[in-house]
Amino acid sequence: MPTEPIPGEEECTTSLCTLDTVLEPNALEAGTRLWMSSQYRQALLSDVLDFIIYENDNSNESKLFSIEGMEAERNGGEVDFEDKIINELKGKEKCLDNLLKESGNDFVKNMIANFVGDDSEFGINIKSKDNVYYTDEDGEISEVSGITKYSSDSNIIKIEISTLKANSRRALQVTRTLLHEYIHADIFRKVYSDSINSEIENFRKTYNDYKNTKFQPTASHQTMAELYLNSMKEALKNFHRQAMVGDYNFLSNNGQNNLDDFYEAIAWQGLRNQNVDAWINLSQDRKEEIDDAYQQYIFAATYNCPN
Amino acid sequence: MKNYFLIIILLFGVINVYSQSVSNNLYLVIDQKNDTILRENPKSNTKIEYYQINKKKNWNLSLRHIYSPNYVKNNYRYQLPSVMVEQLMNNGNVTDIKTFLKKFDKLSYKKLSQYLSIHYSYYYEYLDGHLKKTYKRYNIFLIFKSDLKNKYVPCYEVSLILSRMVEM
Repeated sequence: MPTEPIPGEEECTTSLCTLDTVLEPNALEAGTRLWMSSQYRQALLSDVLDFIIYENDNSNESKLFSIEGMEAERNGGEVDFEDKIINELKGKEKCLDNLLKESGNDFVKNMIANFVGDDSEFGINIKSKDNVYYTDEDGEISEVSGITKYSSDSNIIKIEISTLKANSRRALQVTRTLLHEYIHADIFRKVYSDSINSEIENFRKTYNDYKNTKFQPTASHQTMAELYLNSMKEALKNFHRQAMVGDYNFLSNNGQNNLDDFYEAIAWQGLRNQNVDAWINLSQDRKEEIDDAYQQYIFAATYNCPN
Repeated sequence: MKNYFLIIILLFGVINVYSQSVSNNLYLVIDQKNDTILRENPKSNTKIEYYQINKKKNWNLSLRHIYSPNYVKNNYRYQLPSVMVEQLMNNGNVTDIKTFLKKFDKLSYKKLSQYLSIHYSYYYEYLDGHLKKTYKRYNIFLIFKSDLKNKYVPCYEVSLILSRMVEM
């Protein structure tokens, strides 16, 4: 009976042995390693080794991404080694994310393109979780629709989307959550990028001004409200018209009703309750217009992702 | 009126010189063997990076020594005579990086941001064409432990990047 070579004791003759020598001992969870040893995983194994050894010169970042990628594949997710994106979304949020990437406007496409390809410094791991929780500064835990995480020990920005919240909300609201979390990822990218260019410099100026002078709410939400809100509104409007035609025609009465304030109201969700300056500075009349548009249309909007 | 103007300029100058004086700086000693230091990649603009993650308090702090040709906000890099470093050690300006960062373990993001800003930051003034501009710098430098035995010790000014780890 053929036995598998023990790493370090002889030259590798199998891809799995090569993987063992490339990764740190025990870096890969035992169950995932066993799963990878199946003959059905040979193509994935080749992709992983090409990615680490030939495309990234054995960099630590590529190893960490590969470990997360293999674990994601084992859990039913999809990994794109070329674009450095791990997608473990499920159900409604997966459907809306796919639609957003297919028919999103330039803002959405450019934002996601910053994480794609050989030149990108950061990758994204986006996944569904039954419930997502956020712990605030005082240790208080609340259930939220999504979170975005970054730490300097990895170049993968992680997004978690709550399946429970997604299922209980309108499709446009879930799309807003996806956009909101992608924007957080974009903000992390700009804050921690090694690149030096005018776009990054200008962005950091706004971000640092909020960080240095105002401590409540977060600099990230202040910056999002100041620099991204209009783009979010336009992205939602474009998405609704292009990808959710039935819902758009129903709400707008076949284009007769202007829904701009409704899109803006949705874009404000997740920001206005953070007391960002941009919301506080709106006139009371404008706030009421936005609230009225929200109340007028939200209850008629669809829950479903059009397939 | 003219005199007031002169006094204000003089005060600005004094503050600027004081904030950049060696005795006002903090020098953090890192051990190349034991500390995790990122990006000694010559292509990277970040020449040295040391980071601290605090999951419980939800913050990520990165100390970066940045140098890029043609960039106007590069970090300083200079050498100090070892005698001067000894003097700075005696004055309490030199400390092990882990010991320094340990005291932030229980600080929230807000408190840490305030602390670093109050104790170690200053506004650096420079001329961009005819325009006088400012930006925030920190009086914090990194020193490699292995360099301490040299006659001249290289000191690397760092930029501080602080953010939350998790955003909702």
